[in-house]
Amino acid sequence: MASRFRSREALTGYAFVLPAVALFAIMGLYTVGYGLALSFARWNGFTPTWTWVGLGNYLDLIYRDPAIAPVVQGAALRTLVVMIAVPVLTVLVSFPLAAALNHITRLRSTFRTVFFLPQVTAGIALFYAWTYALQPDGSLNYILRHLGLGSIAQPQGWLGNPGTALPTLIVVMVLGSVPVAMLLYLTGLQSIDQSVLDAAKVDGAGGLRAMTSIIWPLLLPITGAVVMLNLRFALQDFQTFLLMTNGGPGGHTLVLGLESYNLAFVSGFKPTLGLSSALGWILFVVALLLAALNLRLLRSRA
Amino acid sequence: MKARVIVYALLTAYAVLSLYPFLLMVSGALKDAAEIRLDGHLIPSDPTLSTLARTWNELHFFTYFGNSLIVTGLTTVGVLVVYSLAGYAFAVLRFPGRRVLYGMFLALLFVPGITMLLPVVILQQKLGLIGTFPGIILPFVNGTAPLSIMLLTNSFRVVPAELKESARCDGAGELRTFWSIYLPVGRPALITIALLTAVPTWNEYVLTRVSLNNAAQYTLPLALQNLNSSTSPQENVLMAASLIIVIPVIILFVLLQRYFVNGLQGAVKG
Amino acid sequence: MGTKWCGGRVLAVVAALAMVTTACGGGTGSGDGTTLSMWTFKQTHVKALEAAAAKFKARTGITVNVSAYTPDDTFTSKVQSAAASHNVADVLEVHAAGEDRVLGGAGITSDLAGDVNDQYKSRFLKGTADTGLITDQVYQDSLKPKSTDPGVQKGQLLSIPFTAGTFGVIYANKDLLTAAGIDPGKAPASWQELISWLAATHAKDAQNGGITIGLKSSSTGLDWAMEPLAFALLGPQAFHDLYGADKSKAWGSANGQKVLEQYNQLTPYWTPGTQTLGIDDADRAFAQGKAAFDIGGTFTISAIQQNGMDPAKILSFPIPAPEGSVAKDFKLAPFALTGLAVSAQTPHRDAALKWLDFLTQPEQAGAFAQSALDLPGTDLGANAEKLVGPYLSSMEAAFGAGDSAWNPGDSTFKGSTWDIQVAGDILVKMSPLKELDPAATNQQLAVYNNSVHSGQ
Repeated sequence: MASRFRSREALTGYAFVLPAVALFAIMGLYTVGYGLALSFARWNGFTPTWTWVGLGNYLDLIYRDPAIAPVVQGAALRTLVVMIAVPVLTVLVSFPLAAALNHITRLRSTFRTVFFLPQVTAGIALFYAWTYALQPDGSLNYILRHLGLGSIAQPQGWLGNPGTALPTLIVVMVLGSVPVAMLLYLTGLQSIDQSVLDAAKVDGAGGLRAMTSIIWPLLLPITGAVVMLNLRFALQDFQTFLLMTNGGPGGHTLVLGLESYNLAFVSGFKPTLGLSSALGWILFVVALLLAALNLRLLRSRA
Repeated sequence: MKARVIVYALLTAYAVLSLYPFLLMVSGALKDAAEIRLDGHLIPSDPTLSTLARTWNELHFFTYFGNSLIVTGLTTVGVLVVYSLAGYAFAVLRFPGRRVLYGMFLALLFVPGITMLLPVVILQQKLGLIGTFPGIILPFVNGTAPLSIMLLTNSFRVVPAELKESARCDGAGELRTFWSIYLPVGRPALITIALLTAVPTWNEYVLTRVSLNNAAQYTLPLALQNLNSSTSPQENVLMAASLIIVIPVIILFVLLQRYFVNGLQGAVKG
Repeated sequence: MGTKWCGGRVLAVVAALAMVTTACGGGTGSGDGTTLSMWTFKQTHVKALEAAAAKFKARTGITVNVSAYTPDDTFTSKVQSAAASHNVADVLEVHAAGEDRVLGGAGITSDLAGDVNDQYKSRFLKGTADTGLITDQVYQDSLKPKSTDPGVQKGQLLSIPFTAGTFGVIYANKDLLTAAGIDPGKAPASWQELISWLAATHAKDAQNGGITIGLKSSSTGLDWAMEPLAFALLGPQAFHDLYGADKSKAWGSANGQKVLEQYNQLTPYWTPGTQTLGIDDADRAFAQGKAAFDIGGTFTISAIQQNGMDPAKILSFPIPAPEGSVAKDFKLAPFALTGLAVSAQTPHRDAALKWLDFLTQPEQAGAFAQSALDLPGTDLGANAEKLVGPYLSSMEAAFGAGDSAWNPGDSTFKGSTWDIQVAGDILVKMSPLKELDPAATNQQLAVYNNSVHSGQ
């Protein structure tokens, strides 16, 4: 009787996951398999057959092809910068913001709504607005000049100066990722037992000290989640780069995701689709390693 | 008292930064063709609504709004149906291979979108779905799998087993139990997922751009891109169009943010 | 394909969603009866093509449906994916001297050699008729392992010219010239004179008196400005050698240095932020009076006019040769920018060929030129001025052919994996970014050029 019941339960279970699994089998497994196979081939997208090259694409990307490897290495370095800067800045901005929001009662939800706007509207319209703001005779330079900060203004535009282009894009990305992080921190702060804070006060811990020595450690799991989400975002996002700079000026904002897109869709018909796919898989492995590392770090702290 | 002033100053400063691009859209949209060529001053000297009116006509807003609504709506409904079923199974039912399947969905979280882009386009073609709404909706739905399954499984897990047993005793079948007990409990999570799906889908650009190629099917982001690339309009037109496109999202968010916030918070706690 | 999907039992839930929209029909087929489909990547051509299709229908009863897929990468992915299922339109307007060969080599489009005889070819502008022809050189290159167009056969004609033009045309704002004390009546006689003009307009107004080009696509600086300059300065042979494997003559040599030093003279005069502008943005900035000069091609005039600038206020001229140039009587050769190709699978090949013939006859080509503001590949002869306006026709008159004319459509002398974007990025780092001096730029181009030759 018991085993019959269990087999019925199992059947029901399969029936319930069937739509998800079927969709995954087609949209996930097929595309993953196809992409993986393609990464071992040379193809321009048009010829009826692929030329198998084994690990050739991976080797070409990493070091072997003198025309491509340097470009990829430069892009990898910039991607690394983005992967460090975006999570770190997101934490550095969103944690104090959450603490500040937690501190106040009036206008809390108004502030929260406003902070969320760059996240819910992230996309082409927002990028156009930023691009417009950042050009040489754009609003940002205008404001700086009128605040007497003309020396910071960028006469070539914030996206035109190789020194400011990447940092500017990072700021735009951070603005988009702060809201969710802030909300997670806020939730964490609200769930901290008031008695813990009271105890700290009895011990004479001031506001700032309580924040750093008691609250921050308690919220480490949330920091872990925020870092994880943003590592993934920083590694994968190339829409910001595609729309705002297209990798310019002079390749100074070319990141791996955009390079992979270029190899697949704007390669001038060169047989680089396999290279594009291989680059995508390298990104996957890096993302997986980072996730594992992050989990480990979290566990060792806890 | 001093601390409070600092806190409000900090929050206000960040609020200004968050609002800045939208102020620009409004400012740009209110300028005429001559004024927009001047420097980047924020307050138009002679505000006009004619740019907005003209852009509204050029943009054919309702056609593309309708397309965006279909794509976003069906994607969201698809996600809710497919993954609440799966979440229920993972949270409540016992069946061999459960953990492996669950892990497989989570691994999808780390497959970069760019890796899937080209195979998805080729797959769409093989299935005859290129240039159709299902062609983009299906990958969109699948793309949310990791997060949706994770959140829903978590939210169904907290339902006390006794509730389920009592429903069973009342003679309710599995679907009834799912429908009348678990779904209501999971409502906050469902709403969160709906919003977490709808917002990025509404704004999605890359896959839509390489898949949809009939202008009549464009979603709003593509319509904006098309306006920009086919007529190379001045910035006042571009800002007006951008404004028109973000306003529905902002309205929707302001109306539904309670669910968004509560749901996300619930998801973290759960 | 569509029916299989909709009937699929496995995905019943999802398919149910799919039914709500109308999507079961599958891709755009080739149509039935005498209906042709045509794809183009030029939005600006659609209206003109549709007007032509209406006339064609009245004359022959054949319907042509035109669709545009823009920008270029969308068109590419569209054709790419359609090719995978043999679902390509009957007629394609493609990038000439590149895409036509890729598609032909892959068997997606068909050989037109048997359908286009010498008399047919005589209607095209001199030097453009054989753009789609697979010459011995093109064929040999296609055999290399990383070639872009594997599968082409010697003697194939894979496209016929549709629109033509050339790069390396400079547009100047006459009002700004006058304001700077320059006579806008005639073009500068040399590169040096052009630089002195730039110095004058820039001194007059540093913000709006400079020169612009859409360097967000970094390759424009390379093949719209630097290459014609290099060709004029060095002459054809030495120019080709820059891209060769012989290091004493290629990038990195004294010749490369000479070219880069000349080009670098532009550096002080770019309008602020030129490196962030797309091609359309640059043309718009020029039309709005934010730049005194705009570098482009013959096609740029339509973009400038579309942005509302009065053509009477524009002085246009080819990039002037520097003093002491090797190429005496330097000219720009028109080449086919886009070509027409016919699908290999079309069931309506005869109708498609009729449509090609109709589009490229002088009468129709003139109507197209007038409507699309683009220079057709068909030689309009004496009617040119009437049909395409004084600017394009005067440019047509300035075109040259033969050895002393620079033909940007010819890349056969470059390594087959040479990527104009990578090289363009290096050039942008010198000008306008000033991160590299000409010597360092020369060195980096040498490293890149060598890597292209050793990597293939």
